Amino acid sequence: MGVMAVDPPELLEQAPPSDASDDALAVAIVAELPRLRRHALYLLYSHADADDLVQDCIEAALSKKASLQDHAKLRSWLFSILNNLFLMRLRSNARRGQALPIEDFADSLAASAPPEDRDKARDLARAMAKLSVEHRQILLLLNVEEYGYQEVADTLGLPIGTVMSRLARARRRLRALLEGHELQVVDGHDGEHADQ
Amino acid sequence: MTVNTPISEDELHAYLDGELPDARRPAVEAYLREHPEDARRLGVYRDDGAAIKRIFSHGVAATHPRRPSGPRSWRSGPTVSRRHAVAAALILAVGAVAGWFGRERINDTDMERLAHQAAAAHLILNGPGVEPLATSSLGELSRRMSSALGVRTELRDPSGTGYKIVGARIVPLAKGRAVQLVMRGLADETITFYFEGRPGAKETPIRRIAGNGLTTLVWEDDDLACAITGALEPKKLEEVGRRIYEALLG
Repeated sequence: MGVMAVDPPELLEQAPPSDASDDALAVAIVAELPRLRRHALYLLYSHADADDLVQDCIEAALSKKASLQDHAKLRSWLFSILNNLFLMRLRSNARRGQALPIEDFADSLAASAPPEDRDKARDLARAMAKLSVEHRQILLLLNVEEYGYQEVADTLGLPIGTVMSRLARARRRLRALLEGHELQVVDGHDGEHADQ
Repeated sequence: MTVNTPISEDELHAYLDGELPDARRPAVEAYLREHPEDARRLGVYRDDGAAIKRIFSHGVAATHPRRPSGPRSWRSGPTVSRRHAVAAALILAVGAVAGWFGRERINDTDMERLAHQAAAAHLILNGPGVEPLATSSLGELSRRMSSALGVRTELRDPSGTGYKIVGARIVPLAKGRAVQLVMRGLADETITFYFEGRPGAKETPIRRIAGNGLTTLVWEDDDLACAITGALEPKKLEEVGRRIYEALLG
């Protein structure tokens, strides 16, 4: 490669301090990192992949921070970026035939749960993984992130009516899976045509 | 409102989620009194939601797997813990980069992107588990790094500088891959190097991007674009970074 010893670097610029609004945004983004990592983890079932996804999300957010019009909607904005990146990654993984490491993750989740919840945790991890990604997203946003319908709609870029019908379908399918009924999922969209 | 008012499935779920308009609540409640099977079904959905919240909300921190002490893959390379030390750096990293770019002090968009990505890669280092690369030799690291960057690299042990490599990570990019190396100093301070292959690149001066306590330096060297980020005073990072870089790749 020929990377050589570096001559004493020439200092081009003295760095200015960051301004207050940028600092406030920085603090706000950092505050969202645990939620982003958690959401990514439950979408991907892999800590390493989740870290990569969040990293991509932060990169994208930094690159287009000017597009954040309303800082009060930072969380939805970040989750929207993350979910879009996730869908892009999903399509790429589908082309490569990659699947979620369901059993490893189910065991990990069960191990972290209180003893009385371990079976439930394992069953839920398996069932959630078998849902379409759209249904998993909506159940996570609603139950884990405690989003309202409008926030879910904003995050996923959907009409609120679609959110409602998709949610109803997601709950029904999750329940069926938890009761041991395997469902056929086609192309990961899981009857999406009926949502509109 | 009568008991016979048509109630949609969506309305039942909206009722469950507290999203139903007040005007419709009496109708839905009346419907559920007359249709106990639907009331039970909503109860089951509510319990499923509560289980998701209980298990998925609280399991995440504890379920981050500790890396095994034996051999592990490069792809799953370590994250750096130092939660508290890095937490401060995270805030500053974003602020520093955002503040700098907000003033358009770097006009080279490719170097701006590099700095964004280096800062983002630094941001992600908030996972638990400081674990040395017990089984990854420098030779193996060099091989992996060369493969990822498309540029032959030969790493040398930088520990004489007081900094050790404690983590490594391949960062997928829209085009190609980057490599992040995590260094730990004697005082437990963490700095990160971030490399991209840049065939044909020649040495450029170092540009400094800094905010309140955290600095990123970016530059190009032969066939490489480089960034270093750390919560050190700018002059200190510049001095340390150059020393480590010379030891590592000189």
